Order: sequence, then C-alpha cells, then structure tokens
Amino acid sequence: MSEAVDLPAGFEALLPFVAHWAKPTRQARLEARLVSSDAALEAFYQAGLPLLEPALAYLDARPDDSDPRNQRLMLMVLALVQAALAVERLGDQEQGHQVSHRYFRYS
Amino acid sequence: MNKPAGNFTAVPNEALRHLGTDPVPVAPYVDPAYYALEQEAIFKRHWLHIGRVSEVAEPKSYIVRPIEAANASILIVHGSDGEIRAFHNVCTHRGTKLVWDDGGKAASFSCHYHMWNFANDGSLRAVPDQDRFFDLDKKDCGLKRVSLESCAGFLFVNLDPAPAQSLRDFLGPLAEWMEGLAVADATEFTEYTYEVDANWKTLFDNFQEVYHVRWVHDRSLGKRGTGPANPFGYASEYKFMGRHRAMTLWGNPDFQPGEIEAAAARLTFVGREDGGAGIVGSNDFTAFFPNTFLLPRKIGAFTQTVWPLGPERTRSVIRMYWQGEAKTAAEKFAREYAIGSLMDVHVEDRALVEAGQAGLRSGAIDKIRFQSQEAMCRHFINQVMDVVDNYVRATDNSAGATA
Repeated sequence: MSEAVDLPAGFEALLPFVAHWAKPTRQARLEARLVSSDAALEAFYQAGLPLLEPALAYLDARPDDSDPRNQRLMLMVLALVQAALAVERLGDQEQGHQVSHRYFRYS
Repeated sequence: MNKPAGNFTAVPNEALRHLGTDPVPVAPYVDPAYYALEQEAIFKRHWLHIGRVSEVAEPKSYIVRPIEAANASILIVHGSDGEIRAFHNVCTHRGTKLVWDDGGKAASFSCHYHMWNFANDGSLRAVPDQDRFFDLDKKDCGLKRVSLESCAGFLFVNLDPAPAQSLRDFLGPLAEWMEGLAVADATEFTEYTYEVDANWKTLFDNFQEVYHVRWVHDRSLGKRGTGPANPFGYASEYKFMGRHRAMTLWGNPDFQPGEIEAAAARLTFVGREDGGAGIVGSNDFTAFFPNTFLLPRKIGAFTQTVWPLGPERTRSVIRMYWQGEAKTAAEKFAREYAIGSLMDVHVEDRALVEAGQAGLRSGAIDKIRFQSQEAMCRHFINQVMDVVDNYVRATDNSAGATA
C-alpha cells in the first residue's frame, strides 16, 4: 500500500501539487517543470509563494527530522525553485525553454 | 538605500587595441585538420582541469575521466599509501581499457580481458599464468603515469610525458588568487552536463563576451547585469595573464528580483556575504587556458570545463562548489536556486552556439569580426593560434633534423 500523501499542518495548500512535484532528485524536479504548462507552473508558484518562508522556518526548527511529511515539504520547497524560475524569470518564454532544457542533465 | 546605478565606464577600445583589430579566420573553428593539430598541441601538452581533490579524498577512492580530445581515459586514484596519482586507464598487457566505471573505491584493479591485476599505486601485482610470458618483469609493467598537480583543491593533469611547465608556473598569478578564495576549501558540489554540436572554441567564446546577454538572456538574466549606465552589461575590467584571461562582471544595483528570487538571494548570503568572516569571493570571471572557467562567487563557485569530442562536438561540465554541507532548509533552497538559475542561462546559450557553428560550417563567411568588448574571444584565439603555430614549427624543425 502506498504511503498517504500528507504534509505538515499549515501547508495543506500544497497538497494538490505533491504528486507532481515532490520528487527526490534535482533532475526529477527539473523534469516535473519540463512537462508543466504555464498555467500549472503559475498555480504551483502562487500556492507556494506565501508558504516559502513559513516552510523554511518550520523545517529549520526540525533538523535531522525523519518524519516523511517534513521530508516531503522540503522536496516541495526545492521544487518551488523550478516553478519560480519559470514564472518570475522566463514568463512566456518558458515553453520554448522547455525544449532546449532537455539537453541538460544533472549528474 | 539605493546605490548609484550610474557608475560604469567601459574599457576603451584603445586599451584593447594591443590584442589586434583585424578579423580572425574561421578555419580554426571548423577545420578537422586544425582540430587534429589542437589535439596534439593543446590537449596532449597542457594542464587540464579534470576534477577536485575532494573526489578522491579517501585512500582507495578513485575516479575515471575521459579526455576524448587526447584519445585518453584517465584513472585518478588515492593509493593505500596516501599518495594521489593519475594514470592512463590502460592495461599494460594489450592496451585494454582497465576500469570501466567512473569511480568508487578499490584496493586494486583487474583488467577484464586477461585479469592482470594492478595495485592502487599503479604497480602490476599479479599476472595469471605468468610463466607463459617470456622474461616478463612486473616492475616494468606498472600503469603509465600521467602528471597530476593541484591548486586550491582543483586537480589538473598534463598528458605530456615531460610537461614544459609546472602547474604553478602555468597558472602564474592565478595560483595565488585561487588559493585565497573560499572555494579552495570546498568539498561539496553540484554538477550538470550538456553536449552541443559546436567546436569547443565556439562554445567557449559564448562565455567570453557579454555582448549577447541583452538579447539572448533577456529573461533569464534580464536587467541583473545590464542597466541604463551599462546597457550591454560590458565588463568593467579585463585582465590578460599569459595564456589566461578574466573579466570583472558588472551588476546592476537597481535590479528588482521576483519574490522567490529575492528570498533565495537573501538566504544565500545570510552568514556569508554579509556576516561570514573570511569567505572570499570575486566577480572576476576567469578563463584558464585552454578550456576552463571559474567564477568564484560566495554562495557557490562556478566552474565550467568544455571538452572537445570532435571538431564540431563538445561536452560542457558545469559545477557549483559549496562551502560545506547544506545543513539548513534555507541553505538547501538557496543552493537549488543558484544552480537552477545558472542552468536556465546555459539553456538559452546552447541553441545560439549551435546556430553559430552551423553558420561557420557553411563557409558563408571566412572571417569573424570581434569588437573591442569581445576582447576575451580575441585573446583566446590569439593564444590558440600561437600554441598551434609553435607546435607546427617545432614539429617541422624536428622532422627536418631527423631527415
């Protein structure tokens, strides 16, 4: 049975995005971006923006935490970087970028 | 408080005239015969940045790295005796590639073909059915050494059996500069790679000028490095150091980043740029001859090494080095942002570099016209042509002497 998808209390707004974005590697988080529409990126960005600083504060108060919900929240924070790069920087150039991005690979 | 945005003076054309002003030939960027000369003159005879001491920090640890431009595979191994050595990754029996993975830990290496076994100091340890060989002396059959030296934690190899210069002499003033940087102690890094259909110099040149930034990186860099005082984002200074060169990158103090970018920037520098004692960075984007860049910013020092795979195919290896392990969520986030935003810039360059190579290959133009602020590109091709010319002259002379 697969583990219930859950996040710490206060971060429920990110739950709809967990399945797509909570990926364990940087390459997988990049690939999640590369298959996302502009609307999907915007939705995740808007949900994540107000929760970024609370999430970092929450996680930094719990170092070495083995709770899978907290670990999942960390992955969501890292994934938010990819959405922010698309939304804040690239805007309507993001979809064109996604084609060229496929030549790049994290080791 | 706003810093004045108006402080920028471009390096005047006259200060760069000494590098030459004529257009440069296209042939070195496309001609397979010229590439063959570069393989001999440059990649088999110069110090090449190949890795990091921290990658072989423990006794028995090893890495294997290809240098296609020299038709070589290099095994770098931290011997059980504590010494770090580099070897050709080639069995001394019949020349078979010895180690097939790209790193790990091993007390010894066995050739897949006939099971010759080499200790991690390179000596030949065991030969199956040795009595069948004629006068085989194992002492003569150790792995072939490759010159290996390090500076500021960066490993360099030189495939010349007798390098003309030590690494330190080759680096000149850059050696001391590197040793004073925070990156000298860095043991953590993140890496990504990409390949491109372009000559290694076409790719390298892309990063040696900022003339293209205003258009190509309109979004990924935007107004971070351009502004009313410096609309093309030109470097505030160029330095030419033997075969190496650097430019001091300019930043727009009035740039307003997006909210998450601003958070990343703030978290990036907390305890480092502002409060961290002894953390030394630099905006000097430095090109080491022949194929490596270093931009040692404080959050993470960025290196890029371009490896020719053929006359018009190149692999690029990008790393960001970090100061210690990321212990906090904030640090992990800031590092993810730093490497991710760098990749976004490189993504934009890649297609332009291929388009540039395709045009050069067509033969439509036979000269490249560099402007003054493409001074790094011009200095680079000057060095390449000088090294190749010297090699051709020396080869001709020795051919004449033996004739």
